[in-house]
Amino acid sequence: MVTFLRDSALIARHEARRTLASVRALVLLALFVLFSALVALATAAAARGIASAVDEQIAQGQPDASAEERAQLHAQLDSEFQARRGEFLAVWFSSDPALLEAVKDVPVFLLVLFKLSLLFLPAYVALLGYDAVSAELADRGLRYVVVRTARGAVLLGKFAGLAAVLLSLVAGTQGLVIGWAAFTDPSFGPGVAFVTWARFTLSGLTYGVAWLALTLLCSLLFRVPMVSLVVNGLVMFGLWLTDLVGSVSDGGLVRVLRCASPTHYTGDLLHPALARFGLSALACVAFASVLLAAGGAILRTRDV
Amino acid sequence: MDAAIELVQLGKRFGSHAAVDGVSLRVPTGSCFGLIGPNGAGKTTTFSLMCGFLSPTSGSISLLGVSPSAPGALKGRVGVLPQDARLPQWEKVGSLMVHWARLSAVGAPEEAARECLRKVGMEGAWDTRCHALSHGMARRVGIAQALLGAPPVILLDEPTAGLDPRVAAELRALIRSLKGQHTLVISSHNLQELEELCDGAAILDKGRLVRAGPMSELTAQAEQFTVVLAGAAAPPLETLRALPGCAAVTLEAGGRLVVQLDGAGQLPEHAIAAVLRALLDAGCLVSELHRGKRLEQRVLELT
Repeated sequence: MVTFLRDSALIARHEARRTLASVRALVLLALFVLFSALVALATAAAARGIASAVDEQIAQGQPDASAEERAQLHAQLDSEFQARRGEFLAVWFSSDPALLEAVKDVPVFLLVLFKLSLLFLPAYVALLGYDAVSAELADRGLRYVVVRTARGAVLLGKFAGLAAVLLSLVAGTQGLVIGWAAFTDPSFGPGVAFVTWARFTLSGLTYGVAWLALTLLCSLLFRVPMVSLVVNGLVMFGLWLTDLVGSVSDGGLVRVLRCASPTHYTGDLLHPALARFGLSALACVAFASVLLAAGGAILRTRDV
Repeated sequence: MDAAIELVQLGKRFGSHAAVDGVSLRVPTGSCFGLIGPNGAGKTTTFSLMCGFLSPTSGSISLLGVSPSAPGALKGRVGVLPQDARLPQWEKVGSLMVHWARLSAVGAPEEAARECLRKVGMEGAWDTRCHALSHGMARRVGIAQALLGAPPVILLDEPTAGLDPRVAAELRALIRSLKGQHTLVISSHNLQELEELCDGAAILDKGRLVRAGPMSELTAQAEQFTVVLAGAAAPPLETLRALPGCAAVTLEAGGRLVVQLDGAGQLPEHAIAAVLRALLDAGCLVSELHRGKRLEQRVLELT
C-alpha cells in the first residue's frame, strides 16, 4: 500500500508538471480570462441598467424635500435595488434566500461568473484531461510505466496530478477575477474577497473532480484521444440534460436519475448550511470515486 | 535449471484471430533466449504477454514466480524495451529517466539514469527533448531505461532494429556483457544476431510454437557440419564417407561439402578433425567451416 501511494504521488507530480508546462494549460487559462471578461462586461451592462433606473427615480424626486423624506426615498430605492438584484440573481445564480443572504456582499458579476463557470467547468476538465491515458495508449508510451508500477497507481496518480492542475487553474483564475473585483469595488473588502475566493475555489474543485473522474474513465476506454473527447462530451451532455429534464418534471424515473448527475448538486456547493454543502460535496466525491473504481477495474484488465 | 519465465498453454485471441495459440515454453534463469519467427508469427504478442502488456485469453505465464498481470508484480524485476512504444515527446531524456528510475524504486535514481545512458552511449542526451532524438537514439534511450535498476529479467523487442552497423555492434557487445547476470529475452528478425547472442530460442509460426530448445539443438550442431572448399582440387568423397562418424557426405554447388554425422558415440570434433585431415592430405584448400545449420536455414525449414 505504501508503494502504491508512493508511486501514485510520483506519477501525480510528473503529470501535474507535464500539464502545467504544456501550452494547453495556458490556453485554458486564457479562455477563462476571456470568458470572465465577457461575463463581467455583460453583468456590468445589466448593473448599469439598474443604476440608471434608480438615477432616473432620484432625478424625479423633489429637490426641496426634507432630510427625512430624502432618507425615505433612499430606503425605498435601496429596497427596490435589492429586489431587482434578487430578481437578477434568481435567474442567473440562485433563488435560495439563505444562499443569497450569505453572498449579499459579493459583487453580482462574480456570482454570475461563478455560476456560468460551473456550467462550463466540465468542458474545461474534458479539454484538460481527455488524452491523459488515451494518448499513451495510442503511442504505447504507457508500456514504459506499467512495468514499473500497478496500473491502479497510474490512474490514481494521473487523477491526483490533474486535480492539482485543476486546483491551480481554478484558484488562479478565481484569484485573478476576485482580486480585480476587490481592487475596483471599495465595498468588496479584502476579508470578504478572500472568503469568497476560498469558497469558490473549494466548490469549483469539488465539482471539477467529479467530471475529472469521468474524463479519465473515457480516456482509458479509447485509444484515439478524439474519440475519448467526443464520448466524454456526449456523456456530459447526457448528464446535464438528465438534470435539466429532472428539474422540470413532476416525478418519475428522470426525477430520480438526476441525482446521479453532478450538475444536480451545484446549487448547494456555496450554501451556508453545512449539511447541504456537505451533502453536495459528498455526492460529487462519491461520483468521482465510483468512476475511478470502475476505471481502475477496466485499466487493470485491458490490453495496453 | 530453474525457469525464469514459464508459459503454459498460452493463448491470445484478437476477435476470431488467434495471435498466440497454446504456446508452452521455459526460459532458463540466466540464459539469453531468442524469440524467432516470420511476420505475424506471434513473437511480439508473446513478448507483450510476458511483459504483462496484454492479458492472455487462455493459459498462464509465470515470470520469476509471479503473474505479470498481477498489480505491481514486475516492479524492479523486469526491464522492457517495447518494440513500438514512443518516448514522451516533450520530456527531456534525463528527467524522464530519473522519473522512471524512481518508479522502479532504484536507489540514487539520477546516478543510475546517467550510468544507464552512458552504457548505451547516450550520456550527452541528458537535456535533449525526446522529440529531437533520431530513431536510433530513441532506441538506445529505450534500452537504457530497460537497464535501470539492473533487473533480473530483461526483455528486448527488436533491440537493434533501425540502428547503424556500428551502434548495433556496440549494443550487441552490451547485451553480451549482460549475459550471465540477467535472464535476457530477445525478440528479433535478425537471425544472425540471435544465433550469435542466444543460448536458446523458440521458433514460432502462425501463433504456434514450432520448436524450442538450446541453440546447439536448433541448429543441429551435433548432426552435421559444412566445409567450404577453395581451389580446384576435388575432395576424396569415398574416403570421407568411410571415415568413422560420417554418415553421409555430399558436395553442393559453390564447393560446399556437407557432412552428416551418424551420432554413434563419437564426438563431432573427432569427425571434423578426421575430415579436415583427409581434405588437406588430398590437397584441398579450406576457406570456411561451419557446424550445424545456419539458424536462418533452420527457421526456413521449420516455418
